[in-house]
Amino acid sequence: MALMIRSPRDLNAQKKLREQILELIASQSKKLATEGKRDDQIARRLEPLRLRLAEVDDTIELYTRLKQGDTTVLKGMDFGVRLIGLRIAAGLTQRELARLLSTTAGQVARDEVNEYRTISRLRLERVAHALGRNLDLSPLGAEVENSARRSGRSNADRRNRAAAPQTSGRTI
Amino acid sequence: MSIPAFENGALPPGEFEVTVDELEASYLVTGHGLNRKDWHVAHRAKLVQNLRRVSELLRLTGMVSALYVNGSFVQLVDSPSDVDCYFLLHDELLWDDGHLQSRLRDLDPDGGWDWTTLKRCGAKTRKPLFWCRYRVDLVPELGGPSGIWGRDGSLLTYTEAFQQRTDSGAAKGVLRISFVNPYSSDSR
Repeated sequence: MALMIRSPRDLNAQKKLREQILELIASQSKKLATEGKRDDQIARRLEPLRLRLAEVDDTIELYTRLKQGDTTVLKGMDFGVRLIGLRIAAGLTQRELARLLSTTAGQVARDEVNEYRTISRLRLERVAHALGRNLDLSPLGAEVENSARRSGRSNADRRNRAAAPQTSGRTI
Repeated sequence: MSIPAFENGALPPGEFEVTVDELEASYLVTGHGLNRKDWHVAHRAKLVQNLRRVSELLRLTGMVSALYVNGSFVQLVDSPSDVDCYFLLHDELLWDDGHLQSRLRDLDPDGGWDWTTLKRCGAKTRKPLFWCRYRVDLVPELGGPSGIWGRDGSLLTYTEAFQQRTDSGAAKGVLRISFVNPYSSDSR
């Protein structure tokens, strides 16, 4: 259910959503109390909403860490999520990735909304190559190195590196 | 009932009654007729195996009337990460008083049947332990707000939220697995 944050605009929307869910939890708690529910019943009733809040918190944290160049958070995730994460960690916008792929920003945006689950393997390979990676489509994928953070590269450095893709045997 | 063909990559609007056997034999697993060379048959079959176990557990509680399957598993997605579901109870107090959760733990002590203990296990976000075990996302439809807002800004129930496309807000369909209470006189 949780959508991945892919841009600063998404981040602001998720922060707003977080506030909305917190307000909803507070208002539902009051409403259930006035209906005569006990505290333990209210707590259980609100569990799905708290789960939703945790999802939103985690998507915000994931994006924040990726923006800092920390790709270790991608370990074990689906390949589509890893591709999006690598783009964010490389400091590339969707438009910049589109330029590398000779396609449109709209196409990259559509692919990312679907977390790359509906495109061909050939196109996936092109995206991975543009991000300087080989492709591993196994369900859990390969471990992703935290090379960007370890080497202390800036976003500009990471952008330049992605602009001249060399897969160098690393997989996603 | 047979599962209708995809329309624009999702089920057409409606609730379509199926059994797990029918789901397992359907194009949603086999990919028959979809012309998708990367359709992950083995992965989808494994997800249905897990769903079969979860469905059987819910049936055995005698507290759940129906399980609805939505999300990427019932869409044109080669390799969905999980199976998204919501369920209806015979009475909301079965959830509020913790009877369902308790019965699930009795039936499946290692299943992680708890909606408050969350863990990272390969998903983008923390998930309940039962998700880590079965890759089935499961929430009760109690008629209240889901914490999901529609494109028009309205707050949705799970039933409403999961029968809308997230990209356009257009209606889409779900599968329904109905349960006969195994402890009622009708089922004997």
